[in-house]
Amino acid sequence: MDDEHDDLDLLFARAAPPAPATDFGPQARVRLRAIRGARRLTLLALVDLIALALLPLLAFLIGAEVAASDAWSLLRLAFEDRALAIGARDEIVRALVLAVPWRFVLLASLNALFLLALTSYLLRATDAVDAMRMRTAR
Amino acid sequence: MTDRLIRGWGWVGVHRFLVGWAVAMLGLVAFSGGIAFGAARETAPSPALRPGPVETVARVQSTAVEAVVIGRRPNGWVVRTRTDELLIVRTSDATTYRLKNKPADANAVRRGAKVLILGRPAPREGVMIARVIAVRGQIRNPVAPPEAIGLPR
Repeated sequence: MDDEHDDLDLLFARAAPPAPATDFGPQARVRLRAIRGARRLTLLALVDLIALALLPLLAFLIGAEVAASDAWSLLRLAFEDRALAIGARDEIVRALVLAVPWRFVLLASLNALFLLALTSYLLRATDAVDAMRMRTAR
Repeated sequence: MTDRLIRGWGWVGVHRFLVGWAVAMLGLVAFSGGIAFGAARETAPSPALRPGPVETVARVQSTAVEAVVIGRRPNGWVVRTRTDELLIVRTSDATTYRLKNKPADANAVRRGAKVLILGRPAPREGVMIARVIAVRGQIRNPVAPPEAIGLPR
């Protein structure tokens, strides 16, 4: 053994040089796609969370507006006095319709639809990321 | 970090039904909780009798109004709504009265009675034509005479 090369150097010199992976390029592309996909899904999930947070806020506004009207008293009367509820159903229905804060109901419905569509898309889109993950793991 | 993100989304993909149900349940709880919280926070003022003069007349658009009777008029009642506005309730022979969820007559309506009026708003502002007046209780506050609280004759 000479002074300049120790055992470890000899061992490395004897070892066969590692063969470059034949599918390095495609694997790198798949991994890049997986990273991009995961980041995109995370951004969409944040939008989903914002929509989810808006839902109780809109519900709060609906509840507050209905409570401020005479709707609760009217509903209680309609449940307690069935004869009156049947006899004056037109007035009761009209008053209830007028008591509903339709603008908030519309906003909450739109928000719920958006939430539903985005969540469905997110759950379906995870397939692609999972498939890419499996391919890069092999 | 990126690997964790990819693994995390992979996990979501495997358990997508569970995640979907969790999001749906969370949305449902958030919505119903929001409604309940909003209704609990907004405690609507109960119509009550106050000693001060009534300054505004109610612009009624609804067909149902909860109010407290503060005075009687030859062809109806004067009531104060929960928004502290004055409303003149016109009655006719067709008007029916309910007390404790049973038919009653006009004598069931007294000053200080908490009533729910069903009918239609009259063309004149601050006037409602009653079809049904349901007495829902009696407020405890002392009832001031109509003249003392500045009611128009």
